[in-house]
Amino acid sequence: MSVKYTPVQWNRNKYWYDAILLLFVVLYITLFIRYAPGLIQTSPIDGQILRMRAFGTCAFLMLTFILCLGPLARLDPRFLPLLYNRRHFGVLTFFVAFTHLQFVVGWYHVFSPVDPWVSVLSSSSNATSFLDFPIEWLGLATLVILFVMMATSHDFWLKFLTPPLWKTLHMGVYLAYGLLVMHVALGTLQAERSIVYPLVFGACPLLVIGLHWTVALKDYRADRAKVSADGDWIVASELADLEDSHGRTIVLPGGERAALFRYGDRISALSNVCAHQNGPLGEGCIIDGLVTCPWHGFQYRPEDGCSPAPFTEKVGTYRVKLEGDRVLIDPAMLPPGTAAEPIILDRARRAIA
Amino acid sequence: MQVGHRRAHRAIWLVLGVLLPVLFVAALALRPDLPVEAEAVERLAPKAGGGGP
Repeated sequence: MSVKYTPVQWNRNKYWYDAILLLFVVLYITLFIRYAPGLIQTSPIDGQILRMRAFGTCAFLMLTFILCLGPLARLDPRFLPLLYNRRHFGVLTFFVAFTHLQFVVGWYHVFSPVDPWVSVLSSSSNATSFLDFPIEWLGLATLVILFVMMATSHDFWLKFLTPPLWKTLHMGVYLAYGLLVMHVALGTLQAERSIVYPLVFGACPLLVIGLHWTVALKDYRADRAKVSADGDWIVASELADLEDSHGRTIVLPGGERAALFRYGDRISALSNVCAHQNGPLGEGCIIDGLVTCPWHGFQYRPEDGCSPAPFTEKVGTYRVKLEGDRVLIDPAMLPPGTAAEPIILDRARRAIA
Repeated sequence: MQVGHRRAHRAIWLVLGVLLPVLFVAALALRPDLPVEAEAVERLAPKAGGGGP
């Protein structure tokens, strides 16, 4: 959220995040170059190839970690701080992967009779063979996808493309990861006999797939859960189950979700989809009286779904009412920014009495 | 829209979850044996008195 344009809204958290990230990358590459020849590499290896592998494996592990962050944050909120600056993580991954490419070009293609970049694309072209498939194509395709994601990572593009389109575009990272795994499996692993490489390169995609399947299964179960209705209204929660200042995600008929919040003696419901990056508002909390997205801290007033002035973001709202100890919600979402009267507990209880 | 994205996510990870391990294992299982490292062979001295092949 910004009133005047600033290219990157740096803050202390972002500085720390980037500094630690950079430190880990430098540390990994240093340790790999220092110790891999004795521990992993079974045969003598040239320094240039060693550096190539250091940056290549680093980019692979970084992309693996990035893909784990989403499901990890859904499974355990303690991972949310890592999600906060994930875009910087992605940008750094691109540059590490690009450095790997520079070493590849410098070692294998710079003395080619044709232009080195032409050589990268044309030196091996047995595209009909599985094992001899040109791994350079797989690696370059991965890098192109990462470049597009890096180039459009800024909030300007998020706003320009709109969050749904931007998210669809950035789902290309899954394709990139698939290509990258095959780049490795048909490349290094064809020539390398150390057991460490297949173990690491095999365990990483299994971890990513396992985490995404776990979250998908959790979502699927939530979607299939029986919704009890009272006329057109849906039973959202028992009053006693609502924790003060914390959100609760409600699955509505058709699969849409609402975010239900109790804040003091009031209860309101908003769309579960943050206007910034479609983050899950129901997994957020109330800070300073405002619903706060767990991903990047965008805030909305619980009564009408509007960001506080001077910000202009809006999300949809839902009508809520109390019946006995049950909180009911009308599943028809009101347009973004529409005020919906909250449940005021004392008043509602007096009315029931 | 969120429903569509969730379904797309599930479909993508279902496909990747099946395809990637299969291709990965296939790439490992089918990889050719590396040639046995040849030991250094001393160049044979030419036979005395010449003589070629």
